[in-house]
Amino acid sequence: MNLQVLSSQFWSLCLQGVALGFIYVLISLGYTMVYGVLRLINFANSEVFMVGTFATVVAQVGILQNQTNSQPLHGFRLLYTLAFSLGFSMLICGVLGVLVELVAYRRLRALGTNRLASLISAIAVSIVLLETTRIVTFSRPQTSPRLLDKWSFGEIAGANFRIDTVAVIVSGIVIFFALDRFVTKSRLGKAIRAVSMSEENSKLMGVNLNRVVSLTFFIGGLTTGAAAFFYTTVYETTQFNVGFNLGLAAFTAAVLGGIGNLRGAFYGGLFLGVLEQFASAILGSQWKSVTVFLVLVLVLLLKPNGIFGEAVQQTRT
Amino acid sequence: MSALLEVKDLKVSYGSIMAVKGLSLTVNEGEIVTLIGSNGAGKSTTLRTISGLLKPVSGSIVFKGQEIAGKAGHDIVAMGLCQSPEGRRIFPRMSVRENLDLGAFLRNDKVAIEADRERVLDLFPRLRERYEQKGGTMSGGEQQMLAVARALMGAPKLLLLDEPSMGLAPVLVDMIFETIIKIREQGITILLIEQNASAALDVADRAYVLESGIIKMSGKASDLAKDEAVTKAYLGG
Amino acid sequence: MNKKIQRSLAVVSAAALVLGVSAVSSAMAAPKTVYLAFQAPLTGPNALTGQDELTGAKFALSEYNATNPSIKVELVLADDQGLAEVAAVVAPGIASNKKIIGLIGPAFSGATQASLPAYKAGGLALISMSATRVSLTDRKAAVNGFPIFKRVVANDQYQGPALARYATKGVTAPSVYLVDDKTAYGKGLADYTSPSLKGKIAGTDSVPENTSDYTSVVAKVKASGANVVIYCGYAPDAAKFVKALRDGGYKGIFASGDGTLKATFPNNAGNTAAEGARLTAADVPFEDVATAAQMVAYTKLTGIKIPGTYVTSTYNATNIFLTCIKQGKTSRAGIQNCITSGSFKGVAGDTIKFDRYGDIVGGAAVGAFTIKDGKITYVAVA
Repeated sequence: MNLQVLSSQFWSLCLQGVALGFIYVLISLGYTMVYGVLRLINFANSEVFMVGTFATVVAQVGILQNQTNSQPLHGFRLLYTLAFSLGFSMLICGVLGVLVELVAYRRLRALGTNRLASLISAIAVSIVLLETTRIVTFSRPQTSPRLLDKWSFGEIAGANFRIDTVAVIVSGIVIFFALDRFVTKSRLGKAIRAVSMSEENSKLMGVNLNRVVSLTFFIGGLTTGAAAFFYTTVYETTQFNVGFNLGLAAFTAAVLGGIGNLRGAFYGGLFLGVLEQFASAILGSQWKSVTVFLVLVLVLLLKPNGIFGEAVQQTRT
Repeated sequence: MSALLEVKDLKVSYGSIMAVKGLSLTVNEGEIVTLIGSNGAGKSTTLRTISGLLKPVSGSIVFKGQEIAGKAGHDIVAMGLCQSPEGRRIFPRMSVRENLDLGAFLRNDKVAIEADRERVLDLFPRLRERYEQKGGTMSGGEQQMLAVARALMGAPKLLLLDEPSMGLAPVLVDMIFETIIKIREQGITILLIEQNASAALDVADRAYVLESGIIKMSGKASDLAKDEAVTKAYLGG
Repeated sequence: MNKKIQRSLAVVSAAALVLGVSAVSSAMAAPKTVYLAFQAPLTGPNALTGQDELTGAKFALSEYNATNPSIKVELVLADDQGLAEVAAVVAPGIASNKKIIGLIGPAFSGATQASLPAYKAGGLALISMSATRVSLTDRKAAVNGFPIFKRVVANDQYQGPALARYATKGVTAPSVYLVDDKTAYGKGLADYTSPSLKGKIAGTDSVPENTSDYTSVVAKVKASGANVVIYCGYAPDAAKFVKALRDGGYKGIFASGDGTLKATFPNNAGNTAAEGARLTAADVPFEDVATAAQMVAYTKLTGIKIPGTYVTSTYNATNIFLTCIKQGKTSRAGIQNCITSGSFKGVAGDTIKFDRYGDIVGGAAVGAFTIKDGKITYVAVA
């Protein structure tokens, strides 16, 4: 137990936890969107994230020709580079999400196989993506250049409001609310929600199920791709196995908040980010996972569908 | 009168169990046709197959002169064949307004959609009162009204109604059947499935009696209502 | 779940490899070909270490084959993923294949320990390039590698105190924050480092390998007021950690062991974060000891410009076997005798001779390195 750390670092831990939490939020949206529509845990999402981190590096180093040791950019060039690599990562992940569904799930779904088959298919896709990336990258970690100079807005109560920390939080909020609005207000968003309540009923409304499923994987890929961009911008490095821990954390966040529910992913991700920071600061990093899963078990004991989850019967009528 | 829907020798199975064993029926433009039969006779299966939710083993379904057997559900809806499913299958976590929006999912004609919205809300004034309420929190009768209203938002040529009176209080049952007549008056053809055979035969022009996946009898609804066998089996007489 | 499936796949493929080789060799029936096994993690999360090491073995072999020797040598790859449970399944297959006369590896200590029973029973000589766990050559340990196990790497008993010494060198009133990565290697090294730091430890933490976010550890380091941070773990994590420390405003010393001594460490840590970091290792960067011509040939063979860790030790281990084979030793017993009694040359021109329990006589040297202008620079013996 190390409570002394709280005296000077409390707000710093909070801020960092929220920033990390928003990366979790964006990844767990990928899990939760797909689960909402298909009742399927898309385990391959963690590897979609991993591919996104490499896509970000490819955009910045390969396409825009920055060097790994180049100096930070400024002004228009900086904005353009960041916007381009964000867009590139999102697009790659979106398209990859759609492809994963086409290759790994669609035919199983058409055959009416049980969900276990899809789960195994998901693991197979994960391994293919993981090992392919490992071979292509010679198992080496890949550094992304520090294009964004990490200046600080200033410190408040020991919490350092660095530009990347602030950018993750602000963008996370914007992306989340844009998605929330899309799903509640737009025609296609309504179709997604309709399918999540009843596939058959939606078909009777003229909803093209396959198209909605593809759209869902695409959107889940977009948010996961955004997470990959922010991850790479903050930590400036990635590796073929980066998806495992991040994916597991995001999935935990989704379950914690109530999987299948956008707001659940939001609060679950933030809660998990902050919890991890405090658990590793106070108890030691080796107790972080233990604490997280202990909390998860307690939450599920009290609320089996997560903090914001609806009752199963209700979602499946 | 021309046939709007013509089903011929339809066979449908669930796995190895044959649920519909060679069913033929015709619905003419402007008619109310009812398909009655006991629980498990294959009524819902027939309707679900017409709507494209199930693929038939064999047989043909011709709607507006086109073969639709085996087509995808959304293509069938686009042709003007809408179903109000059995068991109040509305979208529980959506408001009445959103449920109606989804009924018109495939339509782009904003002006006509708004006109239809007014029309169905006039038909079911209760829904106007509950307009922003979540579907899942409404009473059974209200949910049933919503299911029918939602199907009407698709501007159907042919409306399939699956057990609209199931589980409703007698007052509401009367109200639903009155509404069915009103809907027909608006120029919509109706194929109605019911366990409540007497009420169904009251409003229908023609009727088919389905038993274990096979049509046992058919004819004018008023004739069947008087038939001894039908009375015994389905009208509790 | 994901991991488990990978593991079992690895086991299957390793088994297939072993069987495949025996089929091939009997078909060829060439009297002049012998086989050396190479055991390391080649897939899975630890694949980087094994793949790096493999380049050293392949390079040594390519040099050997280029001399047109009368006895041909081929490598048999055994992928243990660096995991004891996988190694326990892979080892018996290798041990029972009599065509294999020696084994380079295993790379990881846990995997080595799990493999020992099978290899002892088969009388197969092992030379590990990176298994540093002390007990493997400790004659008092319940399970040691005697008589078949040798290693060309300094064990942590030597490296730990050296690391503590080098990290705090020239620091008045050192206050050390000791962080390990929870792996057998990292924790083990930390355990041998901490006794030398008695009374100087400001705090400790165990951060699991592959953690992305080190901000909470940075917060603790800052709160503790430490002026030296020692990290016991591998390069990718060390790079993330040192970057987080510097970005978080930590100005003190960052020191780490051989797991971090990898050219990619300064690259991954960015332009300035790794600058001045103090590193120790039983491993010397291959490019520092190999000739320029060798480096050209190495890059041509492997496609890699900057060799990873333990390439030097793997190269040395492989060459020890090749030297014995060149002397005509083509049986397991012959190889075992040759290694135990012989004296060999390392790539740096150093003499390698093993003591009774398998360590290099006089202890393999622990080198002190620092990062200067983004490059690993050899300083002295720590």
